[in-house]
Amino acid sequence: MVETAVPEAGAARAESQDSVESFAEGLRDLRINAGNPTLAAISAQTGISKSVLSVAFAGKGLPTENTVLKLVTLLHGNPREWRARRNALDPRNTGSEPVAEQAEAGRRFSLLQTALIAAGAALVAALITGVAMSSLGAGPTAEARHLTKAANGVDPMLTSCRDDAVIAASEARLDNLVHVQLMYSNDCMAVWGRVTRYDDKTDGNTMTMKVWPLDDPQSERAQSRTDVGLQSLYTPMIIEPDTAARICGQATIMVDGKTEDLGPKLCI
Amino acid sequence: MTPLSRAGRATAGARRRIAVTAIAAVFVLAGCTPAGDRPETDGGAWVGFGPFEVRGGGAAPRILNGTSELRLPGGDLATIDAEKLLGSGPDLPPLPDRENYTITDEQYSYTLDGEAPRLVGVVQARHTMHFRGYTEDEFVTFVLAISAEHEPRELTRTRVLRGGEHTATITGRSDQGVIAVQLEGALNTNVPHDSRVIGVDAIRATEVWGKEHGYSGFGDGTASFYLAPARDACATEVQRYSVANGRAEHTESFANTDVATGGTCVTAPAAAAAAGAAAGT
Repeated sequence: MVETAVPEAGAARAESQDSVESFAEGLRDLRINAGNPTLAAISAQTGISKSVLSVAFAGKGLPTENTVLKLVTLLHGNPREWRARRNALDPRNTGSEPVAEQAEAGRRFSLLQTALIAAGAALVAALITGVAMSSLGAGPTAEARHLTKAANGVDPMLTSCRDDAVIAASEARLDNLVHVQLMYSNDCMAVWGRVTRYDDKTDGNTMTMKVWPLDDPQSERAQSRTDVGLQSLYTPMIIEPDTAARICGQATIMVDGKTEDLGPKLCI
Repeated sequence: MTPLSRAGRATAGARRRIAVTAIAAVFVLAGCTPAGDRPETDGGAWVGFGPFEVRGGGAAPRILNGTSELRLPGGDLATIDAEKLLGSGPDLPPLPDRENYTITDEQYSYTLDGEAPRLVGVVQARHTMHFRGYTEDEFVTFVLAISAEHEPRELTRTRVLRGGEHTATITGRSDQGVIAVQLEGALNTNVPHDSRVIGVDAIRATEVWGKEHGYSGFGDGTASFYLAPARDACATEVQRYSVANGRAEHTESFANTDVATGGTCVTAPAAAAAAGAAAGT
């Protein structure tokens, strides 16, 4: 009987339990401990774009060594430790290869185990291939999206109304810092409002938009939505089968704690 | 070394054969997986392209020209190709007579949708229209928002110009979904040559600002606009503006552009070359 030798669990194993997600969690903790500066503030002080920072903090990818060093230095972490941790997670890191080679060298398998591993590997490869090929061939379909039926008060993004939506009215407000728009879906005979800010002040600030039938502002069909920390906000929809009827929209945004009225109503 | 018995040699031989068979089986089956799943090792080192990575060397680019391969934040590889992307959006209205569009140029940059990374493409195409017995070409420029996934998808499609022959170049990017696009050529009916810079929110498929009769140097977050009758002409005004909203943060006017009489001559190309070098384009 040939025995199987497996290397003892050590530091390498402890490192291998780390993940990009927990790395990002650590970065978020570091950020909070440093007073939770905004992405914009971190970007301004490090020169790292907000998009890169966003990916790093969200754990959607492993940041580069350069990004980690700049970030950790700013957030008062230990750059050496963070660099080592980051590099241990990088699959391209050649420094981890000797450990892996060592582990492979110490591993010997029995005849039965070798056969089982071969069969298992073949099965896994076949399954992966099958899943990959079927997912490539299928693509997203309308049926797979679980769409909601269009109705007053329904989120338009959950319906097929968004597929044929056009911008029916659009006006720039606050000297082009904000755009107020009314969207229209001909298929659904639906209208909803959208307000988008381009002032880079989404953090902590609210936006509100309401839409209503012009001839009945107090109608139960009137819709309103307020949310915080968004760059773009849209309202629930109003269904208006009467093509002669008009729908209006109006919005406000908060800038540095102060509410700004975004001017006269917009109607279509 | 301890010599093996005959039985031991036979066992070792069988084990080798099984191992070889297993490896061969894995390779054969793995060969059926999409090529994009297998990391390639040639073509240069990976450099940052915003939250993505592309092959190359030197400075991290902020614009890609032509069909490009990139690595996504999760490690997957993706190829962005206007030929495949244009008109392919599953949730978008189809592009009528797509087969009559010939891609002539494609450029890519990156932005955010909230906190989600997105690719942005500026795609130029020649659209051949068939009438009764004759054909006519029009030139069309699209701005696409593209999903950051192994098989990139067209998320939005904004047609920013159709008409006479013109060029379109990305001259600015932002994290608010907006890119600056320089348009140059036959932009208006009966005007053979003009220039315009527009800000297009690719995420929400809407044009948010425009600047007429001038040229823009590349900028990330902020860029410069040179008000001038021709690209090489001295600018009468230079704006430092925000790509996201087009607002001028700093404006400098030059009433006298004649250097010989003590004036100042600032041209877009010199500044654009400097900014382009910094952007790695």
